[in-house]
Amino acid sequence: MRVLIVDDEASFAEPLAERLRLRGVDTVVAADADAALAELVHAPRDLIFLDVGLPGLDGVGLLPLLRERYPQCEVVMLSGAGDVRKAVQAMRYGALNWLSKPVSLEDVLAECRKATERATARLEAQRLTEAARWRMLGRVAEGVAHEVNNPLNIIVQAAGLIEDCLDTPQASGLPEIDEAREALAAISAQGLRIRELTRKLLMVGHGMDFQEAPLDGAACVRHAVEMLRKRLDDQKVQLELSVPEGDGAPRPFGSATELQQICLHLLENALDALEISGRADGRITVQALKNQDAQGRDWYELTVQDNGPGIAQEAFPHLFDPFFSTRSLQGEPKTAQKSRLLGRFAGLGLSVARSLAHARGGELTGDNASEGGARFVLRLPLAGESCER
Amino acid sequence: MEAAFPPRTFARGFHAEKLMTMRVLLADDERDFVDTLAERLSLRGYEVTTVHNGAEAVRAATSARPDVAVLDLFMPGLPGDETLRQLKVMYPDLPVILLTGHEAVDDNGTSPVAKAFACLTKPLAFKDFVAVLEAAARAGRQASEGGEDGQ
Repeated sequence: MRVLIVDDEASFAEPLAERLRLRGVDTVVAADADAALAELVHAPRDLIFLDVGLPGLDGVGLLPLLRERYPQCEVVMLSGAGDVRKAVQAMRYGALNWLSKPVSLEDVLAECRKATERATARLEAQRLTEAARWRMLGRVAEGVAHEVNNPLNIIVQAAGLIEDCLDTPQASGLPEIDEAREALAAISAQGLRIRELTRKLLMVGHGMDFQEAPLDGAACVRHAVEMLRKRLDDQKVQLELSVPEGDGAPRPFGSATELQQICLHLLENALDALEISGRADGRITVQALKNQDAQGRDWYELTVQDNGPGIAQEAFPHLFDPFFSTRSLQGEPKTAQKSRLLGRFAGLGLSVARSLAHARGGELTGDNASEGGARFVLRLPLAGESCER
Repeated sequence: MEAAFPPRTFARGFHAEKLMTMRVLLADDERDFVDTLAERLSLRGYEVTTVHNGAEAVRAATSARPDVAVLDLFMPGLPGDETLRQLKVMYPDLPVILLTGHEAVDDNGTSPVAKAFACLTKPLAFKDFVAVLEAAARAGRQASEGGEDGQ
């Protein structure tokens, strides 16, 4: 829990902050509206105790601004005996509650607890909404994939039949036969590309198989690396693996096929980013370890990090949206490569990876590393602990 | 219901001399697909019969006596897995290859799908498909020979 106390009366605010810190609440103090806003830009807060009677812009004036900029952040008003009416007015602007001074530590801690409960409920509601959205998206994607596969299948076989006919002795004298063969090869190759796309579409919003077991994370990573070996070599990317294996290594619980797919998509994403950046010293690091989240739960955590251009700010809200590709936001690739690059991305890899993570009760998040480059963190339940679910 | 499209038989083509004649039954409701596939197989010397649903496949298994049956998993009426079950009751040694548009077949070992010789994903890589067909035919011959030895 992160708390901000906005009060110009230092003899009140500082001791209260100190007592909260002693109870493990991360607390900072601001003396007026400007200092409060500066503090919030610096680091987000979960709960703000806001004094009504501030110098300059008062608490009631600051409140609408806070609600607008930081809707996730709860506000509890603090008022002296004289301005209870103002505090009540603030409730209408969306304050969670008000406390009249002098306030007891118990009251402040009770507000912290309430704010935590509301934040948890809000997160859960968000998670359910997103899960429902993914399920619907999954149904649509599956329908599209099947509808596309049938005609595609006919196209590929028909192209094959023409190829067979060109192989007959009677056809050998045909003019332009080589061009015809090339055209057929193109039809087959493009057909396989569409097939790859529909295969990914089938995974949106779904898990792939039903066999869950404790997994060998290192083997799954290696499997994905082998599938991308040629691309890694072609792009001269340096790959650093630090994934523990053998006895005592943390083991994720899930499906091996799915974990391989997730690794594949994350590595492909990193390779795409490096290809766009055009850097000669491209590097991808893959690291796995057992890690604890804020709620004290242990996870198998797999991090894939590159030294590419990183994720553009505008891209963050859409990072896991199907068919959203960041290439237009990462600057224009060199024109010679452009058409090739634009042709390759399906913008589905990260969506699929996240779907698969969610299907096993895990999570996939993306951010930029402090030293630059994008970093994706996959969390999967640890084998052994998942039985409690 | 009598089939609007009676089973079609495709003649053997120019590659015929390379192979032992093998009879293949293809069942898929996508007519363009089965006909094209049949054409390609017959060019390679296979004798192919095509049908477009499960019930026709069961009838054709008796009339055409195929060495290998290839069934689409999703067909109207009798679906592929049920067709497979019926074929296996009638001809336990007949190798059956299933085609799906979907790789995630819920194969927990109890469904009839487990009795398929192979489960292939569309679109087919034709070379791989022919290789599986040949393997299935070999397995079928061995199974029926083994059965006779046992008698």
